[in-house]
Amino acid sequence: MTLTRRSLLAASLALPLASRLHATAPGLRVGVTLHPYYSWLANILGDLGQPVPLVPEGFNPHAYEPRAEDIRRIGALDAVVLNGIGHDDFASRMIEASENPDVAVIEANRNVPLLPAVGAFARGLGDRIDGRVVNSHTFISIAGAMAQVQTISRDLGVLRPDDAETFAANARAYNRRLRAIRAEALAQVVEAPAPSFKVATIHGAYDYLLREFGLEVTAVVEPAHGIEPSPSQLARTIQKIRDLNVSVIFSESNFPSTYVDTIEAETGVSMYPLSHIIHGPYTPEKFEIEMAANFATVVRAIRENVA
Amino acid sequence: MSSAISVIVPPASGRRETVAVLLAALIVVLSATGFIALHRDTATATSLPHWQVDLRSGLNAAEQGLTADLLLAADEMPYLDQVTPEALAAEGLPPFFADATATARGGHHWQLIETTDAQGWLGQPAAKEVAGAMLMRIAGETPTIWLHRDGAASTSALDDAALIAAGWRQVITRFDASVTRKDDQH
Repeated sequence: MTLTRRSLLAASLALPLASRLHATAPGLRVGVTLHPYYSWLANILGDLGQPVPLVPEGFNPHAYEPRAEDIRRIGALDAVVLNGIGHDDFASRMIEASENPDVAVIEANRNVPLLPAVGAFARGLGDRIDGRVVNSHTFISIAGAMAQVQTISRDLGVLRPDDAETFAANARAYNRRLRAIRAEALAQVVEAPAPSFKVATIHGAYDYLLREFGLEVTAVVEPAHGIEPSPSQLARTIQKIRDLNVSVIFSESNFPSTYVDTIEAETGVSMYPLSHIIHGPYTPEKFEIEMAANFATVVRAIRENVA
Repeated sequence: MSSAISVIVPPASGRRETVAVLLAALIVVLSATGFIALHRDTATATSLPHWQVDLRSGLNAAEQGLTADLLLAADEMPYLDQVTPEALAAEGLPPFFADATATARGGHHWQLIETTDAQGWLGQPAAKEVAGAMLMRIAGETPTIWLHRDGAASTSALDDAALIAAGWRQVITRFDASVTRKDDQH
């Protein structure tokens, strides 16, 4: 074998590149299924890794069906963080079908006090399967987020013990910022809502969020998660909202539907849009920005409707 | 002589087709019924002992929110120099910090109870009709939440036997993976 001048040149160029790639070996690559989890992972991992969305931008996770190129991405992951309680059931099928079926799975909701699901569909299921159907929207609340951030950082620390302290410190710093969002919003509520202040929601996603204001959801318009009501169901809901003397209705800022306008026109109850935090680009700041907006909306609803 | 051929043509009632479609529909319905019957989920009902209460079905919204906040506060406590209710309120930690939510959840007044092997944070509500008395006990590193429907309930002992004898019930939370997941979580 003879070494030509050209091969020596190629080797001399390639070696530093190879060693540099090794020196800056990418940190943990952690798959996520929803925008809030992306924000949390980006803040917990910092420079030690990166979150990888399994659902491409622009897809609605309520109606997402895995594609081959999305499944392929799991092959390069070190872990996958799951909501696991109803908002990303497709993920377990994706993992099973991937080149990496034994990838570490972090059940983010493991330590969250879960609430029962809402709506007639879920209540029907609950009777038959011993109340195991829970509300999967723990990611639309500060308390739910903080509990999940803690769980995720602990589990990542088990995967990478050398970085466990950094993950814990990042998680704590992030949780302090989340707590500040809630505190700043609540400071704007001069008068706490009385028990007679009743709220309804279009989508059954906001029980955890409204509970942070001490509010309980009286009625949910959707008959099931992500399903629009039929005309007869809509008529019954309008009657129910009138009978219950609901003070405000929280709708979806990203699911514009004509039936929502019908409810507002027929009941005369003020409508306030909240973000489900599942639309738009994946960014580290998204959760903080949209939760701050959600808190501001609820504060505005309380201030404008508490007599 | 021409021979006439007569052919009897039955009316186009579509009877055979009707029978075939009905049979096909019956087969589909029976197959679906059989499939569902063979793939039913089995319910495993578990009943809690009298001294425990399920967060989902046994607590109201105020008490559920208080439980979630107490468990989060327990995560933060190891980093703090002082864990008196006043110090926790100064840190802005719910539910010790007095804000609109604390009022809406019953306006609990918190006090610290210390025994040789545990610490407890007892909250008695100002509005007893909104929420019961809440107690978070930390023995070792494990926090447990206890509820007493009598808002004026108090305790100086923090062991299980004493709390149960005084009518306190331990709040149970449990993780249930989605029932429609198809992996080994079920």
